Amino acid sequence: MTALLELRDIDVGYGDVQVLRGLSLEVHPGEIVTLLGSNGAGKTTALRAVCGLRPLLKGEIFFEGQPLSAVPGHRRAALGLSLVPEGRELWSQLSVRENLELGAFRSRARAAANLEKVFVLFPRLRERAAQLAGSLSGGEQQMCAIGRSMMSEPKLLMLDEPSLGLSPLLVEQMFKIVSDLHAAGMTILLVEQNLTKALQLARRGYVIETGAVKLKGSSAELLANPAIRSAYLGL
Amino acid sequence: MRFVELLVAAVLLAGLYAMMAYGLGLIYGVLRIVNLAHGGMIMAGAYLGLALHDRLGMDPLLSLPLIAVVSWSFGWLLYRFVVRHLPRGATGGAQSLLLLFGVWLVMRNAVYLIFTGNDQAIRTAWSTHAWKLAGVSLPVNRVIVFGLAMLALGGLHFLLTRTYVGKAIRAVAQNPDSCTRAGIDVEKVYALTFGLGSALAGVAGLLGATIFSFNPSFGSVELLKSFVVVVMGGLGSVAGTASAALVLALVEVFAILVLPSYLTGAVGFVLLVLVLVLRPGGLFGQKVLG
Repeated sequence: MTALLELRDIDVGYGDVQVLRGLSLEVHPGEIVTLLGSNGAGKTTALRAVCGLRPLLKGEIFFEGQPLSAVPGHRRAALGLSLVPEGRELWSQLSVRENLELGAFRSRARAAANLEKVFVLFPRLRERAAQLAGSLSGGEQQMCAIGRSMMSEPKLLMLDEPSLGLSPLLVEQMFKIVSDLHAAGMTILLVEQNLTKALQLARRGYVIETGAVKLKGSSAELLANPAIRSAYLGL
Repeated sequence: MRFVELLVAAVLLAGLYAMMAYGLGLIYGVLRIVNLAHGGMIMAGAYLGLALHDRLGMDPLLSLPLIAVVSWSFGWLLYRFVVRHLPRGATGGAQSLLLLFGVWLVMRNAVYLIFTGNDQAIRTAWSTHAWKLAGVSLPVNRVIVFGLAMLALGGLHFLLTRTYVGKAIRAVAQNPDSCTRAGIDVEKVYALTFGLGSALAGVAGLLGATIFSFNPSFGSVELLKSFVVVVMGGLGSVAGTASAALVLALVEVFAILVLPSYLTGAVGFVLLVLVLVLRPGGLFGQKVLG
């Protein structure tokens, strides 16, 4: 079976600083995979490269077997990949409804139907539809960001630290949402610092360190790995 | 009665100011570039209207759509072939300022070459007419200019708040990366916006040319007034721009009553300094294309 997303030996850098060094990973249809690693390991950069926001110095990214290097960033949403970025990055001076509508920029014909689906998924967003996105609470902003991504009818949903900056109660809720989306058939690539939670949710994971995969395996294997237990769980 | 007449004159003038300023504010709000060629666009709109009127006998009202399209295309091309390659934002200010200033100088000297530096005016059948309303005289050309400027700003407000493309323009102003992720071609939006700002300048120049006489330096004072309005009104809000334009026009018009005529040109800048000192975020607070 071809992978839905495959990063094959990619290098990415900012100026003189090389962040990713030969990173390779795969996500298969229907999976929920987690990408773990400490701050600065290159998780966010990898996702930015997938979205076409950072150029590749080496290697190739494939989506459904198609190489992405020839596809400019703004055409990748239409292929079916969507990222909920770290820090949400909503358009804070636009209303919640406008944020969601713009998420459907490439699927405008079905925007109304998809908006209804998002409102069913997040009833809170329906209540706040006319409010400026910048005025929402952190949890609501995260819902809005996920809703915006759902508007583009993605085949692969990438989430960059969705629990960041949320209260413990909201973190639970966020993982529940991710789990529900996956149960409904969504393929998910989850970037997290909350390793235990992420590995409970995901079937398998990758641990990256200084820009390359250091460990990979099923969640059970990773959780049992002594190196991970000492480095990330403090056990 | 004199008071009412000045009030009316100020309101009518404010329409044109708002239109000139909105083009400048839109480009700055979305691209973070101060378009110094804006003054050149205003001048070009005036001379294009003059050429179409004198050579082809076209009424400015007829040439307006044509000039809008021509200025839009010029702005679009200027973005695609020149501005796109310049650094933006905090580090790139100097390059784009210098380059666009250069574009303005080239435009101005080209017009010198073609039309000479003499003062020109577009005189139409309706230039010298005035309506009388309750004893207040309403110059027809100024009323028309005001009406068209309001129409243009109203149309723009509709575009920005009600259409997908307009919402995309506002979104790009706030977070371009999120736009790329959502499938919006940010470069296309930049080119479109540069075109829109240029079209506003060109049409404002044409409208101004039906009221004032002009020469190749037409556009310099107008550019400075646009700055004053943009700083006062904040970026991109149509209502904010219109209110700031009204404040500027009122202050200018009523300054005539108390100041010698050679000083009236300076009141706008005194206003600018006052606003920068007292309310640096603009009269209505800072909001980028909200």
